[in-house]
Formats: sequence, C-alpha cells, structure tokens
Amino acid sequence: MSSITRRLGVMGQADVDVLSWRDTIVAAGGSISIAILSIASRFVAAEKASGAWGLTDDYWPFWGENLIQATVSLKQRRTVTLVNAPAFTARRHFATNGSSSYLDTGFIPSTHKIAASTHNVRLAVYLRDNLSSNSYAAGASSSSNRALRLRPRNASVAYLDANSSSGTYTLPAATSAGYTAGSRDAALGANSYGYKNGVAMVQTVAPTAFGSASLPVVPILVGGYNNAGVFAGPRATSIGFMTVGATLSAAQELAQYNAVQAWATAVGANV
Amino acid sequence: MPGFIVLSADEAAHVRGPASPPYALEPIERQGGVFILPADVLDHPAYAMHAEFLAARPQMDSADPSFPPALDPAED
Repeated sequence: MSSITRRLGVMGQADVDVLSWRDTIVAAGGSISIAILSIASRFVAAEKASGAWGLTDDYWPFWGENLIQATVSLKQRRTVTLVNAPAFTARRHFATNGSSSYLDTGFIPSTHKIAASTHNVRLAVYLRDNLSSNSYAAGASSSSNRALRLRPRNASVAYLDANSSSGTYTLPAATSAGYTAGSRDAALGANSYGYKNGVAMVQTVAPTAFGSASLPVVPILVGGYNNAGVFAGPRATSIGFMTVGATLSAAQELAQYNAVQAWATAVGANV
Repeated sequence: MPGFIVLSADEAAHVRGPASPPYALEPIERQGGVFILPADVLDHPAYAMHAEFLAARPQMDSADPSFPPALDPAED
C-alpha cells in the first residue's frame, strides 16, 4: 500500500475506483496529487450516494492537473487521443478551435455501454465558455437518428440528441457555459429530457425519430461530433468535464451537477 | 484569425496517424479535395516528427475569402 493510499485511508477519503484511476494515470506516466485524490473521492462518493455512479458509464475530468491525468477517463479508464493539437490548460479544460482540433474519447456507445441502452442514454458536458453557435460540443452519430450529441447553445436554445433526432430545449439563461445534459429513457418525445446545471429545461420541440438498431457505433468526439467516422460540426469550446451513461432522475441530475460543480470549484474551473 | 496548413490528399495521408502519445494528426477534408491542419501543430513538440514536412506546405488564414469551405455545414 502506498503512502498516499495510507494517508487517504486514514482520512477516510480513498475511494477504490479513484485509486484504480490513479493507478492508470501513474502507469501512463502521469501523476496525481493527494488533493485531487481527495476531491475525486468526494465526487465518486456523492455519485454513489445518489445512485448516479451505477447509471453512468464513464466520466472525463478534462480539468486535470496535468495532461496525462486529463486524458484518462475516471470509470472505464480509457485514454483520450488529442487530435490536431487541442489546447490544454491544467486544472481548467481542453480548448478546441472550431475547425480542426478535437478529442477522440475512444468510447463507442454501442459497444462500451454498460448502464446505457438503445432507448436509455444520456450525454452531459461542462463547458467553461459562452458561445452561440449551431455546433456540437461532443457526440457521435451513425445515422440521422442514431445520434448522441449536444449543441449546448444556439441563440436561446440547446439542441440535444439522445440516440434520436434533435430535441429543442429553452436555456434558462442564454449561455453555453455550465453543465448541459441530454437524455431519454424511452422512444418518446415526452421521455426525452434536457437539463442545465441540474435543473430541467423546457422542451419546445420534441424529438420525433429514435434510433432503434443500437447506439452509435463510432467513438464519441469532443469539440464537434463523429459523423459515421468523419469529424463534423466543429465548435470552438472549452470543455472541463463530460459524462455518458443512462438517464438520471431529476434528483440525480441535481446531485450530479452539485458534485461536478464542487469538483470544478475545488480546482478553480467553475463557471 | 487562426492560420491553417493546406495539404493535398497525398500529403494528408503522409502525416495522418498517431504522433507522440496521446496526440494524433487527422487532417480535415474541406471542399475542393484539400485538407487542413491548424498551424499550431508546427510548434507543438508532439508533432515534431512532421514539423519540417508541414512547414514546407502552404498556409492560409481562415478569414481569407478563398479559404476552402467545410464539407458539412452544421445540421439543423
């Protein structure tokens, strides 16, 4: 047992999943401070307490202390590939340029899902910038309705595709900054949801077509989306955090936002 | 406005692929059969293996009226 593990164990803050994340980061040549181990452990504890941990398939804390830490996902511990030089700022975000730089998570929804399913899926992003643009923060699409992707702000609305055609949701404030989630738990417009900072948004246009064969079969990209293997819909954005999994309840949405915001605040990345 | 390196299809194929982990190069196809990369890659240590080759390619500013348009405008 390492000295860090012993110290966190004594403090009652070491989470076994966070220690596995740490081990992957260290094996990849990165490092992680005791402070971040503690912050991440509190985050995971909050997720487990709300039940969101079991419903979420993976988490990407892009606001890592160093590049390696920021490129290892928290739960499935996949390594992100940085394509065409997205800019990394420690303890803040990755910034994409809206034309050619992006992140490839390697997470293929149809094959890497655990809690998610064809008709129960959710994608959420924490953005640190405000941009009105009909472009995508993240996503993957295998056909027009097998699309899991987020357009966090175009004027006063967000377009959210949860393995479906787009649903339109009114933003509570006209900004893309903050935590935006899109989900659905059945093949119905009424079962499609949008949340901003843990609060349900008003759905103004319901999705009308739903992917039924599977979830997308290509990896989720960040800073645009994966259009059947081609980078598309690029967005100039600063992304600090992302999750994918199954639909959360309203209470779990709020609990997850509070936990994400606590992590953001602890590293100075909160907006 | 950001500058971009403009590549032919063959030149894009030459540099496409993994660079120093966790980085990679994937030139983006634009209309007219050309590909672009952000000029930022020229000074990035992860792409040092391609720096000399890429530095010899033409560059354009995205504000240039002749800058090749994207293949797929964002969908509604």
